Amino acid sequence: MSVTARAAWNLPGTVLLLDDDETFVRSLAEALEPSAVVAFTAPGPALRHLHTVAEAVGSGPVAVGTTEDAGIAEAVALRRDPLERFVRTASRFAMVTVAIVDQVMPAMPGTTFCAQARAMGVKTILLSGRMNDGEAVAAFNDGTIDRYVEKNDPDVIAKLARMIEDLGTSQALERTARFEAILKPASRGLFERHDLWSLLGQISRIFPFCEHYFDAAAPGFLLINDQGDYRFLLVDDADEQIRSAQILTDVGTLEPERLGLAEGRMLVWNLADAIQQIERDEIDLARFVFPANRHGSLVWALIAPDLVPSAGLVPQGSWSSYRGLVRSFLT
Amino acid sequence: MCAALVATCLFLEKRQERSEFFYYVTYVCIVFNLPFFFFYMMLQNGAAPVWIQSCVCALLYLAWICELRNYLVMLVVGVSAAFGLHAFDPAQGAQAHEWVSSVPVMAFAVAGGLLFRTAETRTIASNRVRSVALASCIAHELRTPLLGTRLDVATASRRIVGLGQAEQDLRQVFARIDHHLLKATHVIDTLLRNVTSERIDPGRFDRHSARAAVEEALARYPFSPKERALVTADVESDFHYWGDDVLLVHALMNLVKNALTSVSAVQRGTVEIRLVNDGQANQIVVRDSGGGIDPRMAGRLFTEFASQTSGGAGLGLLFCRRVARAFGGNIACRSRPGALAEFTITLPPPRVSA
Repeated sequence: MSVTARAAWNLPGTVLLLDDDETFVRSLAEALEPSAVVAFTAPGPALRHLHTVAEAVGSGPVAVGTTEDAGIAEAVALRRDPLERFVRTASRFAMVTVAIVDQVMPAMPGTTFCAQARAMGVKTILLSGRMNDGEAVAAFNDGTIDRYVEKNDPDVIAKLARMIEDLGTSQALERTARFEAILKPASRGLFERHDLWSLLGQISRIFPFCEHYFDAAAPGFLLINDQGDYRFLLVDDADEQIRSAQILTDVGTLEPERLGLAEGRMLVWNLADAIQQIERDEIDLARFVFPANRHGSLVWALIAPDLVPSAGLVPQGSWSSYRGLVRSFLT
Repeated sequence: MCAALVATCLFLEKRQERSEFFYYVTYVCIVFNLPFFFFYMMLQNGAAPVWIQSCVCALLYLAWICELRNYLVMLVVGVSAAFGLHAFDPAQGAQAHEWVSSVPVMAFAVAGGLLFRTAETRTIASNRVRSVALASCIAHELRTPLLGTRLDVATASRRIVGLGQAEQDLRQVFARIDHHLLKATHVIDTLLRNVTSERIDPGRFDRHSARAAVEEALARYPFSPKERALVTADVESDFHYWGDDVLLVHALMNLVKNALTSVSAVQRGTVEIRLVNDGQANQIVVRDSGGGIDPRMAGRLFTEFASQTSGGAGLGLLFCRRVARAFGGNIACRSRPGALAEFTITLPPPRVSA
């Protein structure tokens, strides 16, 4: 997955196949390896699958909005619950990015299915058996389908692979645009910064992740790899951290941590939670403050799973096990 | 005498190219023998019942051997000639009242003939529609299993990693299988396109680049490596045309196929595709320096079922001409037997799009 994409959340996509010829569906699924593929031979069950997954994952990892004023209070208002719920369901892998649909099916024309799938945010590729298919061209022109391929195209496999990748990227960008709009005010300007995205690129070499979710409250990214292992990339503007240090000093805290924070050598996790706990005298700052690195004007820390303060952010399932699961259904 | 002349012509035709002269002779003979002769004899013999019956038979025979338009033309010409000639010497033959009574039965025979003709025309048309529908159905049904097989070949060739020498061998086998399948797909496409080309829909026309069409045709044609090396393309002088790009690509593939067949028949020569855009005309030229075209074929190159390849259906060039003409252009052929054949598609510049 692209890490330079300005996505507030991103995850690998599943491909849905629909063709009334069962043997053909299996052959196509095998040819599309390594994509995760769910295959159907009738439109009814395929639509039910889309509905079931949509219900299981809800509207995605962010549900609560915030105001234009990017203060700490608003950041807190962006609760982490929806993100936690999202990463704790393995159904998120079953979310369909692209549907590849045969035009000629007994139950309904492929274009009819595509129109319904598209309404659910799925990108669609129509597989047409006719040459110069007027219906397919019309559907493409009026936007019912995103792409179409003719079955007699000599280059069909390469074209499909390219389309899946392109549509996957554009869909990830589209669906994160909504979350980004919500998160932007709370991101303290982080999303506008180039060094944030170059930092993510650098981190992907240390910890190759395939899913990433922005958590405005921390602030930072939950990164999950192919195997379901995860890290938290705590990241903030260096100046912002000095302000946080000031707030912590005001409510009264230990000297070394304050010093580290003020010098940009430490990073505090979820300041609002920290303050609440300090006020209740339950503070164990080691669980909230982490040694930090500099990247441009940013400070960051990659936090191991056992040190992530919130137990809620433990992802369920892994992309590779899900892929294995769908494969075993196929063969 | 006339019948003997027609028979001789038919006999000669088996040996030789049908000439235009032959068509005229046949036409005149039929007009003379059937409507003219019998009507004239009927009039000259006082409208005797045996001649009236012969006239009815002649009318029915005529309907049987000619298509609708020719039937009407021959009937009118033959009968008027008979009456005209009879008018010079009316004393000798039948008086008007003698033959007028037979007009209803004649009209009846003409009506029967017309009905027969119309019914047959309709049957032919509906048979054609049916065969086109059948062809599309077969093509569509075959495409899915063909693509399925290609997909499985791709999967198999991806999975044979680590077999050493066997892997190399298998890879070549898989590449060949894929080539066969591509060729089968291509054959289906071409046949279907040639069969359905009678209805070219100008609603799908748009402005396209000739260069793109040539490049697409070369990319899609299922060349063997040896064949690909024979073909060169000069697409520098690109131009635009108004038409359907998919149809032009198929027309070009037809021409490339013919050129390659001609080269392989004599085991020498190359194929050259060239775009011409000299301000005078926009042309796509496909030329091969193979065996050239048999002069006996040259006259009817663009007619249905004309082929000099054994087993060729003879639909390809007809298709090319339909496409070129539908785009407002045409196709021409120049050949030196034993040396070269050159097909030139001329296309008008695109109209200014609204």
